[in-house]
Amino acid sequence: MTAATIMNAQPVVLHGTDTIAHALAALQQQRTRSLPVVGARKRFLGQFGMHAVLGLLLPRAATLNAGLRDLSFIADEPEHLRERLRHIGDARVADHLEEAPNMVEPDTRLSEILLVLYRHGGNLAVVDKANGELAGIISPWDILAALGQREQG
Amino acid sequence: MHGAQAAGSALIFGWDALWVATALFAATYAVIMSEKVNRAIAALLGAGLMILLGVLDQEAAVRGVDFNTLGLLIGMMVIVAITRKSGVFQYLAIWAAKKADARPWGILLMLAAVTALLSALLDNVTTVLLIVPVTLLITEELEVKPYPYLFSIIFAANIGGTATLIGDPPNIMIGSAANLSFNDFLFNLAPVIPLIFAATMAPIYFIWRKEFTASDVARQRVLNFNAREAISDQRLLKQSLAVLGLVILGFVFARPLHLEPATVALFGAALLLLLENLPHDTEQQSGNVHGAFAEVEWVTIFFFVGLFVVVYGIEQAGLIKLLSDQLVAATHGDLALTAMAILWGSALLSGVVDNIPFVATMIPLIKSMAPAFGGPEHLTPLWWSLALGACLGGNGTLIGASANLVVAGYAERAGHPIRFVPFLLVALPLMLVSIAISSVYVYWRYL
Repeated sequence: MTAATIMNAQPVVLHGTDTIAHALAALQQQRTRSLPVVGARKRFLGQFGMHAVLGLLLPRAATLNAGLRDLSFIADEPEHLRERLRHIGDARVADHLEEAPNMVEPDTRLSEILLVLYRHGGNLAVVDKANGELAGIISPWDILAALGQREQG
Repeated sequence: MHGAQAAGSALIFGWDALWVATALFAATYAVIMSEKVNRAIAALLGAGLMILLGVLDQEAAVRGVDFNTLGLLIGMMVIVAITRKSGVFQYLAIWAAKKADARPWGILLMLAAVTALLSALLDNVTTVLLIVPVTLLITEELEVKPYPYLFSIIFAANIGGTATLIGDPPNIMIGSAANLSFNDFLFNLAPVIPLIFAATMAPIYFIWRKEFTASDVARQRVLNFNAREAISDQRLLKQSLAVLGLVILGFVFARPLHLEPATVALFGAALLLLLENLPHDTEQQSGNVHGAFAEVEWVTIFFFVGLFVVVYGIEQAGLIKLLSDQLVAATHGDLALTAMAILWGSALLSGVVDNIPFVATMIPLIKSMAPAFGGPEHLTPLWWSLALGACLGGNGTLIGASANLVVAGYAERAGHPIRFVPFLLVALPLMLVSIAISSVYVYWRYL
């Protein structure tokens, strides 16, 4: 069983030029934490997800490597955060992609896919290394579904 | 006869010890300065080659390592690693910002003062690691450019670190090698530090005064910070402050108690580890101790080990004596001229080379000048000149001190990069002013 046989080959995708407001609507509609982002000719650019959105809502000093570990001293100011959310809504998703997207190749085997999902969580992008195209995505549910089918078969 | 032969080693191929040691020393420093290879690797390779090529034998190499410096560094790193978990440093930065009524210039001044004070009591790299994230948060909330704040923190860290034995690694090395105590540093270097601090902050105000404005709404956000909430562990806070206080007292009374600073720092670290871990089971203890030791900057420690051996190699081979004779001849044995040459030379060189290897080389050089100046007790002005030059000189360029690079790294990641040339254009004149003040001070007090 390889990534190509497990993946969803028709995933909902975001485009690099989409706004974060649009991406948030898509994430909410799909009830998922992240979506793949593609450029021209389905070229895989990376993944955009709630992790990036939460990071943009936090002070920069808290998301830095070796940054603040505790924000309990900051008073809750929902209106300030709403303003910040409105402000980031116009930004392009291409500028806020996840730093190390979870990727596998179409011929990656099941045990390796399980390990990557176990270690990193979220969804996996299946990318054809030869042309950089997005072939599909794999969620943990896709794996359970595939295993179920095999058992039934 | 060169010292290398006295050390009982055998040079391969019958090469001359002086040339081999000099070549190894130059090659090691060139690799360190190139920054192509991690500095710890470069120093350890240089040290290894000093032994493999027969300049030193292993016994001599171990003799060259200053374990007092290493012990002091490791002890203080462990104490800070545990103390920081209490949230006290975050508390201090927030307290300072609120004390300034969240006014931008006041915040800059207060954060710089806190940085200078902490740098004097801890090491300055650790201090900026603790202060810069809070500074970035405060400037973000104030909606002001962080550059002047980060700039002043760099200066404050290096200036504050100059004041005490434990503030900056060069001082630790000088204190250990010259047998200068915590009090010696405090009484001889600390008095000039407030003057240098003030002389640095005033130009910073005039250069960036237009940047020091913030809206009332933004200021209120900072005023709404609750500093007490930053304290995450009250018990650990009390324990840490008690041990830190004891350690400082230990440094102050080290000489009458016949204790070395490394003993005080390592005992303090062990005591704090004990207090932190007493209530926990062995598994939790193991995790805590592992965590505290993991925060020791082992790259720096091994860098020191390698450097000490490399410098001991050239010392044993006779290069240091040669250089020292040249320097004394160049200054005609005039103590004042030699002190000024060391002060200004150290300051200018510390801007372009790492001040740790520089000071490691200068220490035996100054020691070997003792006969020319009438004995080791007459070298004091030279030691203070070296400390002032090497520590303050680090402010001259962005690569002049480790603290500068740590701040620059944070600034880059936060999207506010500090560029080399713009930094140099302001920093170099300010650094030269601080060295001019130091020159007057050294001359007035010791010459």
